[in-house]
Amino acid sequence: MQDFATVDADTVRNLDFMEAVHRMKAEFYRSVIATAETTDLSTLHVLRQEPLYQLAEFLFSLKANEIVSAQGLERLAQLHNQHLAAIGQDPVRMREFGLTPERLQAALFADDQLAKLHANFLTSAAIDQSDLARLLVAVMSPETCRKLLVAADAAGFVKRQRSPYGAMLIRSTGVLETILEKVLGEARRNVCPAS
Amino acid sequence: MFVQRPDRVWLTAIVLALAWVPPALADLRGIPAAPPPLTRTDTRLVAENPALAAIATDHPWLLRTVLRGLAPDGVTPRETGVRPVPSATDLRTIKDNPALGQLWRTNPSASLNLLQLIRLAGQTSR
Repeated sequence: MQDFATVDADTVRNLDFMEAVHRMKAEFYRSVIATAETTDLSTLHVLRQEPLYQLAEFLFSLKANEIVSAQGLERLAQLHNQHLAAIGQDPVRMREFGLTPERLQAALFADDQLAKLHANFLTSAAIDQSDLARLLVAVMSPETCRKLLVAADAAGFVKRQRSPYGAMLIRSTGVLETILEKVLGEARRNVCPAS
Repeated sequence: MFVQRPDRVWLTAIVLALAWVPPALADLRGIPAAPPPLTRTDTRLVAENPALAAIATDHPWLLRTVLRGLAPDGVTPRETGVRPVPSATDLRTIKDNPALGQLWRTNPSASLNLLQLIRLAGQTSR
């Protein structure tokens, strides 16, 4: 094993960076569990998994990139369709993403679904759970997404509300975005103190 | 007030029987002789997943329900609460049954693509 004293400066910086990333995620999950409005063990177990971090990144990115209008969300869905179509044409990327052709097809927004996405956001500032699962399809399965949203609802991180038309509408409470923004800022300042 | 005369009791019994029998007969007539046929995709899934093959053999009537649950549009099943993430036994089952693995699929590396799409959407929709 190499003596730590002989490790070059670049490796030390890599180690520092690796620790900073882990410290950031540890702080993220510590804050999540501390903030969750539930003590149910199975719910907390779901919240401690990687998909919650991915959901937080997604919600934070929407906010940070000012996707706060129905038009912006519809534009994202169109880009998502183009992205999935490109993956579908590439067997290597299909394997990389672990998607089946059936699931990829189901994750595309058809014209009527784009209109529904637009209308839901325009009228309720919310996204249908199945549309959210579509947008996250490459990141997690729709089943994982649903399970995660049920847990996030119990924890007070999102509101799930049944619409009069039977859709399950999801609206963020902003808690996850705030937690992620805080830990990202701390990590960035730790790695690049001058920034 | 709840005591009925004998002739009313018989009348009530006949009315109830007439109300109940036709649907019951309809149900009996509606049961097909064999489980629903499988599509080509279903057959492939069953062939590739030993757990599904076992269900097809032991509980053929249940297979359709299980396959429906695995279908990509089965996004909103009953709200029965939160299931735990897979245990070691579940993971072994998933390894041997790829279709079941889809249920727990997560892919952190795909997040980068998603974040880039969001940034692009933000830039092009302003």
